[in-house]
Amino acid sequence: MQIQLNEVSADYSVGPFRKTNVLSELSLSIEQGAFTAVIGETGAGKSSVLKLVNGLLLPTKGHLQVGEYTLEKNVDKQTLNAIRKNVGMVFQFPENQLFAETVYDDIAFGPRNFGFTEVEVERLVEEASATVGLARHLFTRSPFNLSGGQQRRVAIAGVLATEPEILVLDEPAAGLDPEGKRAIFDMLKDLHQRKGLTTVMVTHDMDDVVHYADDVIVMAKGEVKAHLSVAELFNQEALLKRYRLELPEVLRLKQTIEQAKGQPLRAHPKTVDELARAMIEEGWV
Amino acid sequence: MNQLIFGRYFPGDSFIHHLDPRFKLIFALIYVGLLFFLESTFYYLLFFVLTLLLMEQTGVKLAIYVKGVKPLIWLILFAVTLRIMTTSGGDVYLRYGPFAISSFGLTLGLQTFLRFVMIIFISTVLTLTTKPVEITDALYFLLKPLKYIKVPIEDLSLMLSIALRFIPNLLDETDKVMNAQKARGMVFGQGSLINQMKALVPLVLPLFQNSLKRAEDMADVLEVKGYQSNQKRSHYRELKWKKQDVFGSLFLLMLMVVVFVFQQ
Ligand SMILES: Nc1ncnc2c1ncn2[C@@H]1O[C@H](COP(=O)(O)OP(=O)(O)OP(=O)(O)O)[C@@H](O)[C@H]1O
Ligand SMILES: [Mg+2]
Repeated sequence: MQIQLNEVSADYSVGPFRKTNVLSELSLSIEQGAFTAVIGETGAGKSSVLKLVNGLLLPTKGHLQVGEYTLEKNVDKQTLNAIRKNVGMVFQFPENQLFAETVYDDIAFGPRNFGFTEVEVERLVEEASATVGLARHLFTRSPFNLSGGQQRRVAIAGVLATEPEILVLDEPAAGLDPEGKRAIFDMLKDLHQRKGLTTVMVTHDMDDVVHYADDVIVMAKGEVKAHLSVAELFNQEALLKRYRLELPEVLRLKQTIEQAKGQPLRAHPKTVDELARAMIEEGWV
Repeated sequence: MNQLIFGRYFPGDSFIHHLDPRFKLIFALIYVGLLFFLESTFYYLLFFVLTLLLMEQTGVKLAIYVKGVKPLIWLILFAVTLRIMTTSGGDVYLRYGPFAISSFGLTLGLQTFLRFVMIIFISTVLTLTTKPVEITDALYFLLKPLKYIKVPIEDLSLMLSIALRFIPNLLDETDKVMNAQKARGMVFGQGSLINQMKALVPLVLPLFQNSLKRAEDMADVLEVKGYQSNQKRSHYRELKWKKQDVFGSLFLLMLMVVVFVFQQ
């Protein structure tokens, strides 16, 4: 499914103070099957964009197109429900939403809400658990006595179990150890490739962007400042500097080597291994 | 969540914001007390205008205060109606069994209504302009004498300040969990009463779980840092009685004179 925002503005009203335009006149288009990273400083409005795509935050102006559905100010309940069914949203620290008595029931919560039959629910829960690498014998356990990493998997499985066509994630690996983090991202990448899921992910970590995303949306102060491919982004140093974005590790390394060598490397390595290989091919080492 | 205005602090820079919380607390208490000694509609209206002026001074829009009254409006109207129906005297406009609508009744009804609204307004002025921690500090100060009759007011004030401290977190978290469950297809506020109650489980349980976890962490931290409630301690926030608090007190005294001397 494609996502398209047309001059969308949105804000939160808390009591008397309306935050004026947390998002202002955003236009944006995310292709079907893309793996898109959203980056930007804290408070830039990244999470708000994700909520917009799921109809948890409604536009005050403009409209957005999610697949065949249109979301606008006065959207009706059916459309909203249909959109939520098609867009799976993984919140930051999703393990905080766990509530059911057993892991199985928690994962089944979404599918049951969206009206799948018990037979389908069983299949969906099993599939989703397998995808996130959750062993069957955990089904009867209480989600509250699992480890943090396992809880995170249960929470993500709970979202995947509704079989969304779009997956939006807010810092899905925040607070996990490097290994747990890699496992989650590898799983997402695999899912993205296997099922052609349109994936949109907010992250703070540029290394994640290089490793996993195809294109990047740079946000600042409630606006989209740039939407470009990952390779392009790291060639635009001015842009990176202006929005105070860090270079990922591999590019910092590459730059240092290039400076020492006095000439640019032709390849665009995404990992340190690839960098090493490129240097060997060039005959630099 | 946005409906909950009562009991919420809004940062601002009005002179009311800068008053000593002890003064504000006492003022609000006595002010509410005075409302019960008003006798004629004229004085009710006088106090009502005064209340409006105080509200104006906080720099918060009137609509916010009205919002604070809304959740209680049925209760107020019920009390007012009862008042009107059960009071007789003056011109009687309508009579039905023991109930009657009379001019006295209407006057008393109006007064009751004004009193309720003023109580809500003035306590809203207090909570809108005073940080919860300041209110706790003020309470602690005012309750200090109770220490001599062995009331553990340090413990009480610690409990209160921790509780108040976590209200915003709890509201934030409610918002988050609600969003997360909505994203998983939960619909709140729909269907029969039983179903609506059931719908609260996925919301309330995570909140409980997280609060318990937090309470446990907090207790551990207090323990590890060697916190002992019965020790004499200095305060990080010092309460300072300033010139404007003296003026305020004089003003309060004047109000008391008006009610207890002039009114007679
Ligand atoms: N529930 C809310 N109520 C009121 N204001 C909010 C709410 N959520 C976010 N905001 C405001 O909206 C703006 C954008 O917030 P958002 O959470 O989208 O930023 P973000 O880019 O995700 O930041 P971070 O990287 O810190 O997660 C901020 O100014 C924030 O204060
Ligand atoms: Mg965020």
